[in-house]
Amino acid sequence: MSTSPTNQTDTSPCANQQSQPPTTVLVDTSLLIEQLKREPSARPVREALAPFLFKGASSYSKLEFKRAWLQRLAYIHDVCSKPDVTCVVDVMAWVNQKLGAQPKRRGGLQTCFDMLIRFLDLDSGAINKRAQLARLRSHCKRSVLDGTAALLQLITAEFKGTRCVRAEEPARENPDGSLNVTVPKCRPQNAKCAIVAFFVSNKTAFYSLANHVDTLPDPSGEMKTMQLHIRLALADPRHLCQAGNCARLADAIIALDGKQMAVFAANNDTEWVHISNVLQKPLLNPLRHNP
Amino acid sequence: MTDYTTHMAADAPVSHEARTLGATFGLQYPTGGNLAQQFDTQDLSFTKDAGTPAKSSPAAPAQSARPRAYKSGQIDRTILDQAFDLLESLDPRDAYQTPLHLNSIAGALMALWESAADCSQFHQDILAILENAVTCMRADDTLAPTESRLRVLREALNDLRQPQLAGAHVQVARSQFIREGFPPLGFVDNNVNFADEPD
Repeated sequence: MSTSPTNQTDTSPCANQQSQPPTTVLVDTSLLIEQLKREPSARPVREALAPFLFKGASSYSKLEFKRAWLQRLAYIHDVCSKPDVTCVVDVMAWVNQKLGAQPKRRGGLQTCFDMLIRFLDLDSGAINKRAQLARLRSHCKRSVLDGTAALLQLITAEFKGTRCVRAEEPARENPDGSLNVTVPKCRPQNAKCAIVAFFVSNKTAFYSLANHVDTLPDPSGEMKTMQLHIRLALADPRHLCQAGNCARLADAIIALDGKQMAVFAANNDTEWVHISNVLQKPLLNPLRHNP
Repeated sequence: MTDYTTHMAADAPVSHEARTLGATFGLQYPTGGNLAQQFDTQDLSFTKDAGTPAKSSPAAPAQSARPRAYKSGQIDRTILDQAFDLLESLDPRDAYQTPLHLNSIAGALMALWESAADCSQFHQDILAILENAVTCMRADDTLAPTESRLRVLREALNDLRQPQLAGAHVQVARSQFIREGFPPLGFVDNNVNFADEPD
């Protein structure tokens, strides 16, 4: 654990081109999402990943994508369909009222608001409020239903080490026009995935990661949560079968699922700097100077 | 022909008004960005739109405002024809005219929402797919119009002419546009915050 994170992250995959440039890369959820966006968000990521012949992603990223993005889009879509909601401002008020009071939904609230504001910025107010609401609803629906299919087009292969059944459940449209992006809760009694076997087979790496957090002068909340749940899983791997517990070490799972890749590519340095350090992989963050 | 160009601002960063509104809900945004005209024509008062039950009416049934699959509304043929003419006159090799045409097509598509709001959800779905594609083409040089891309745009516009559509029309359009490389998050490309605790 003596390697400085700064040195580690500055190791660009293109830095040691003299010998053999790396040709394989593990793409984290954050960068997969960036590539699904309009220019100019997608361009730096696409260009940075272009030299790699093989782009891998963990199937677990699909679950993260569903939780962090598709569910929020579907939430906006649902709010747009409420009888009392007649314009986009009503949507904002509704979202604020329902999510604003819940600290654990702060990320969702921020994402929903950013989403609505970006949407409004593409609209000069030239159409009436009802049409604007229909437009928002339709674009949310389109993004949800197109998202996963487009995500898979970005990669060469998908690693399925955890065999996560939740990740494989596609977003779909219900007969009444609503969207189904639910992630049913898992229970140790009815575990359907291979998360326990995956954890056991990567126990040493998880153990090293948990210990690495102890060496950090000021670990982030996410890192501390990850450490806590790794230690609970080290005591009893079935801890990960409880709803949501595996998601608390999502980045570690994604990294270890694609550990055979030469380079890791991710946007959120807070966790990935340390994960790539422990797993001794160079970290590529094409958005570090352009967040 | 109506010029719709001025209606659109493809790459407008977060507007001052939008930031101000976000701030009223307790959100912080980085400084910078130009001013859009978003809220100039919007007020925050409740207006009762046709077909939507009034908020205050106790007799109003708690029905969903979700668009039904089959609605009797017709899409505005005049604007649709204008969009089609613009698309037909777009020459992908003309680097000067192409962005101007795309701007006008985007404006026409936006204007179509006025009538599409009364059409079926399938019409709305196809219009959203089309609009996303044109928005992405305007912003991204790598998505420049090609013959195959123009063909799928033309087919989608033709679908909108149909008085009745089915889910299969939307499925076909969706898969064609994905195959042509149009990113799905063209309209909601904000940063995502992963911070929520999982359920």
